[in-house]
Amino acid sequence: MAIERIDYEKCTECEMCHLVCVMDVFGTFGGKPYVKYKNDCVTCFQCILVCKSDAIVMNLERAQQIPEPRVKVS
Amino acid sequence: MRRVHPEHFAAYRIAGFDLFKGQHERDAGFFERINIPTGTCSHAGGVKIDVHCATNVEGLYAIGDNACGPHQGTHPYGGTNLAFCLTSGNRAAKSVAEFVSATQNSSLPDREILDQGREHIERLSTFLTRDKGLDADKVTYNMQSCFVNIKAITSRSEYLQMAIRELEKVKQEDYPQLKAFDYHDLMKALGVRSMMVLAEGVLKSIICREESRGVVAREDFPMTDNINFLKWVVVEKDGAGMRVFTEDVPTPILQAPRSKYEPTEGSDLH
Repeated sequence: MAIERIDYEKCTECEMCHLVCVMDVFGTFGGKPYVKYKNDCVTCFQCILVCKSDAIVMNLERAQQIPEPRVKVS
Repeated sequence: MRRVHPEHFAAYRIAGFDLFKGQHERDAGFFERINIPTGTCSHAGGVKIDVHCATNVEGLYAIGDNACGPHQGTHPYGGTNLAFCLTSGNRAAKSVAEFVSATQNSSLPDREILDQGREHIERLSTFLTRDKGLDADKVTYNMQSCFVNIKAITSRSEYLQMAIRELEKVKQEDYPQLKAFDYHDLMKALGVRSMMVLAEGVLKSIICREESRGVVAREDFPMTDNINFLKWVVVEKDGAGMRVFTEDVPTPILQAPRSKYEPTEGSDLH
């Protein structure tokens, strides 16, 4: 599960998601937050907690794929 | 559980709790009745600290899951780590305040600070100034691929050795090409460097522990061995490499049983 996008119909551009994200997932452009580094979301849900307008949309995908094992175990 | 966690049970007894009778907030994590984040349920080591939470680097303190807590050697069930988190945070904050007030007036010469700053900036900027290379995600992926089936890897010594060899390849081939494309990437590149050191330390410490205890489940050494391994495994920087050795657990209040036994089903809860 990871961040999918920001719903701009609901977003009030308060930038709280940008301020609270410890993984620096959000960028801002002209005062408007956007998902800049989607793959770095660690699903801590802090952005969802601080977003008063429910504008953060999550999906059920993994942010990063599971690596192929290099050590083959019999 | 009483045999493996004697000190925890003694603490509960003193506090008037019997985990096996009635509903207690404390036993919730133990029986997985409430959702305590996994990070507070399992613990596999951390930075070595003294009773003031100080590390062997002057002015550097470690707390909570980052530190080598008192629950080492057992499999802490939910809640016990939270107590250490609060206690160590409080203790470290007081220690830091004392350290700062004691060292406030004895500062390094300005020139020395500037030189140190320049050296750090130079080292950091190598990631940014490379013309081309691998991004941090790619190197992290390659590194993590050495650990993907870690549960299976920890089962036998030869798999652990293979994982170390694979990790060494990543270190020799991929790491020198690590490139940061922006400051966000630079943060991740620095993370890769730390992960690489930690990964090697963890693998080497598991090889050193020839028994099964807590999160270390060895197929070749399936028993918990309190006779030879009721100890901490310490990984120390030794020149460019690492030195791995064991150290006695300091002054336990209650003596753990000096015997070999099968890890209890408590270990399988997590």
